[in-house]
Amino acid sequence: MSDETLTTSEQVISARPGAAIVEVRDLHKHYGPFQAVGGVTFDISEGEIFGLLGPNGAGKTTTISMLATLLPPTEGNATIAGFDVVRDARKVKELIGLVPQDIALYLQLSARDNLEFFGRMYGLSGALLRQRIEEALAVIELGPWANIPVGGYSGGMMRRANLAVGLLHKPRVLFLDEPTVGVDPQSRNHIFESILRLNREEGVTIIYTTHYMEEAQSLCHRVGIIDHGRLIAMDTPRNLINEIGTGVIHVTLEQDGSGLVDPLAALQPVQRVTWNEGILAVHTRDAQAALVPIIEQLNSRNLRIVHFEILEPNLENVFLQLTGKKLRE
Amino acid sequence: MDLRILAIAAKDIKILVRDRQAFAMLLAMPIMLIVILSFALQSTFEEEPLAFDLPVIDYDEGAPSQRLIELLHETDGVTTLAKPATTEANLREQVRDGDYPAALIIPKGFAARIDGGETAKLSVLIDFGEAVSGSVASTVVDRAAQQLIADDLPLGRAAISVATEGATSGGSREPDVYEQNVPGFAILAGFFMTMFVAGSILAEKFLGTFRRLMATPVTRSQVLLGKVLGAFAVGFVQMMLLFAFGYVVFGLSLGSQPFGIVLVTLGVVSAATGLGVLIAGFARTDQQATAFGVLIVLTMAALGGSMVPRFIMPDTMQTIALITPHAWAIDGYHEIIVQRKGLLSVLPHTAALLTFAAIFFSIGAWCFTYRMTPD
Repeated sequence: MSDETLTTSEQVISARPGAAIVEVRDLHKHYGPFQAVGGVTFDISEGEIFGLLGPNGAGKTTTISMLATLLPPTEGNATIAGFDVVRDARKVKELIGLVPQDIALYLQLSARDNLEFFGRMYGLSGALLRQRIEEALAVIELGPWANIPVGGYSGGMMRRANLAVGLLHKPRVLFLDEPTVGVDPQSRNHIFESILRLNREEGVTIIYTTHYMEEAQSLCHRVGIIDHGRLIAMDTPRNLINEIGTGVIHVTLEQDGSGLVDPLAALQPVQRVTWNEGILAVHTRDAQAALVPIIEQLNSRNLRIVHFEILEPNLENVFLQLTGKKLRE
Repeated sequence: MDLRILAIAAKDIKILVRDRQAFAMLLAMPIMLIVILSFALQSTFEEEPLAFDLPVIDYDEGAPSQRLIELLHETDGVTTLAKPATTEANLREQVRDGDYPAALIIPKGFAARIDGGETAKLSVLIDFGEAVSGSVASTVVDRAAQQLIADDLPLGRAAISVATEGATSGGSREPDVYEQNVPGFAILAGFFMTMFVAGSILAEKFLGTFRRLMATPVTRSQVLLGKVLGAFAVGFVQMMLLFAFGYVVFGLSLGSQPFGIVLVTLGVVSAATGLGVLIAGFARTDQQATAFGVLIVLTMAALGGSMVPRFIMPDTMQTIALITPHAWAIDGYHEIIVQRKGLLSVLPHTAALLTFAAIFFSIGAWCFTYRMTPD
């Protein structure tokens, strides 16, 4: 990818990714006859936020587990900063941080106690450990809650504490596995801001798995879409949307519009049409081009339009186009 | 010691110390059992009122020694044999052989030292194998000496000291209610640590912290050793506190070599933590580990003589009990507390407990490596 400033649909991300820090080549993971990951290949540049998107069970977490040295690949290889994830596992562990999907914290201990413990696991001690704990706590802004057992936190606070543990040792590559699942909007925004700050100010390379497309679209420089253990597309969110995205037109009618499904589907820019609960959903290759013929069809039948809306093409549509199913299915 | 192992142990100790249920199970419950069952079963363990013959060799044959012998003879349960037809050497041998629980030697010059206002000495020979009788004999002589000073000698001019000399008959006696219940329930409680070890290992897996730990530069062996070390430290302190409770509240004797109790306790806690690793290796969930743990620990405690004294069991059962670490442990404690033997006497028991620990830990650690995966 280019290292110029990337523009997403919702915000500008100004990090300038550099040379490849993660190199993945034909990575496979099989459990008996079941293929969890079926040969993925990609590079991630230093300083990049890379999103790995896919529905539950697509192979995102398995891929991350192999890169984080937790699972040995069945075939293929991967390196982090030039170190092989199997042969140089210990070195790789020193370079990476992992924020797992589950709240992997000791609930009886406070956030500060958890940070101290995991800091020691990374070999930190004394004044340096205390300094890193304060820095990590500053990022997640728990305030006085930092000294209270994690079991008493809200879901969002737990997620923030979960994130802080991954930052303690200042990793060069940070794996964030679905870090916003079950989080309230305020904590979600806080986590987003923390991730962006880490990336911008400290140049941390971030590998982010999610099945929330809007998150990937707003955060990631590039995304890889994974399904059934295979990487089926990889580019910037904008390029993916431009190349294979579709525009959807929603028309709400007073009368029955089911008779319009076939005539509209026959129009050249239209891909498919559905009629459901008073709404005609027209999926197009080019929403602007389809607009006039659709209105002509409606007028020719004297149908009264209650509401008319052109939906912005997004990654959700891209995924639908590529896999034929919605992300959360 | 590896700092990561110490950090894992310290973390587990911190979690356990904050767990009120664990505190109740590890300390409050065994204390309640010791107190309630000791009072409830006291009469079962009580012996007949103590009565014994006390041979006396009086080298002095002065007025004070004669008066002392009279005072002893007037004491309930004591029959003095004032002129035994034997030498001191023979008498020592007879005490050692268990023929008499104790004997009194009044040295020459006893009266002269009293007259001179010096401290006169008395020697009581006792059989450590008959510790209670020996202790009573020593107390009886001491009281009689104090009475002699108070009633018959000029005030403030003389003193009498009573020295105890031990001999071991090699005979054995049965434990009293506290000598049975304090070590018995301490062992039972020590083995409750099994459930905490197993639960703590499995919790790492189900909390996802094991996966996170495996993404740090720490090895599985370090994780396992850290968890075992933490449980070992808590278990050791727990058992020592229970013995301290027995000593302070019930006057439990710690024997002539209290370090022997420490040695056996090290063996007990090793076996208990090893068993915890074994259960964690086989159980799939925390609940399964608790269910297995309770079943195994209570069965072993009942069979091994922790809850019911082995000496009241049939001979076959007493032998079968030796398949449990509990039986070796309680025998080891009784060697020190009841039989008042030395450190060497508990080495076989400690070795047996460490063997149990090694077997449990080896199998458990193999299962841990095979089954504990971070995926």
